[in-house]
Amino acid sequence: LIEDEKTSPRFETLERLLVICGFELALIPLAGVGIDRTAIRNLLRLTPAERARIAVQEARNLERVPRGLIS
Amino acid sequence: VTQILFDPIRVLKHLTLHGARFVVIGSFAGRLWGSNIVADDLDVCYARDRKNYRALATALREMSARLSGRREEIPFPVDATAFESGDDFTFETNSGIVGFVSMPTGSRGFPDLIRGASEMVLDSVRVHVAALEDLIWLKRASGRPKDLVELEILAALREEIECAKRESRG
Repeated sequence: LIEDEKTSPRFETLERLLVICGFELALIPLAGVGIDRTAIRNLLRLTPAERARIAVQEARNLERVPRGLIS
Repeated sequence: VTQILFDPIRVLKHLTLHGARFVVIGSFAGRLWGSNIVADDLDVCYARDRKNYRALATALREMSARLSGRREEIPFPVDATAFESGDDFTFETNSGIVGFVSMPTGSRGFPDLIRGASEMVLDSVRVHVAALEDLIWLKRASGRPKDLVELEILAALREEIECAKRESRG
């Protein structure tokens, strides 16, 4: 029923299922919090092909930076 | 010394032209989804079968590929046998550095990643790009500091995509 999404498991059931699979629940900070989204939002307005072209241009710009200035 | 210009689309064109089966992973895949992390190489997860090894090797030879970091005096022919002899390879090609990974940490390789992959068209090339959720999972599983930084960006990206979807639904 859980796999078919016909029911949502209670916390205890979820915990038990995870343990069987060799996992456990742990509290960790939500990833992505505090990240500036401005560049991401701009990129999301583009097509994957346009994003690829920008990625290539940026990588080539990086290649022009003298070695030793970046790690 | 001729400067090699990073041209991942050219690499992908060569690979698809020869019918190679692979999924784009790594930072460049993240860029295709909308991440703003700079990607200066291309990583792919390839299918493990003899026919695919031949296709990969043919495409790589066309791009004058040589194994990265290898000493010139040690021969390393880029052929199907080379792919049979190992799992992960980094090649320097005339279009930049390309990483070939058969079993990225946190996944069971190509069959695992192709399931959720999306087909994207880059200029005239159709390629499979690993699902954003899978890229996040792989970054988390890898656990290297640079991957954990990228994980934060990818998670923010995922949230932005979900937010945009909710807004478009009204």
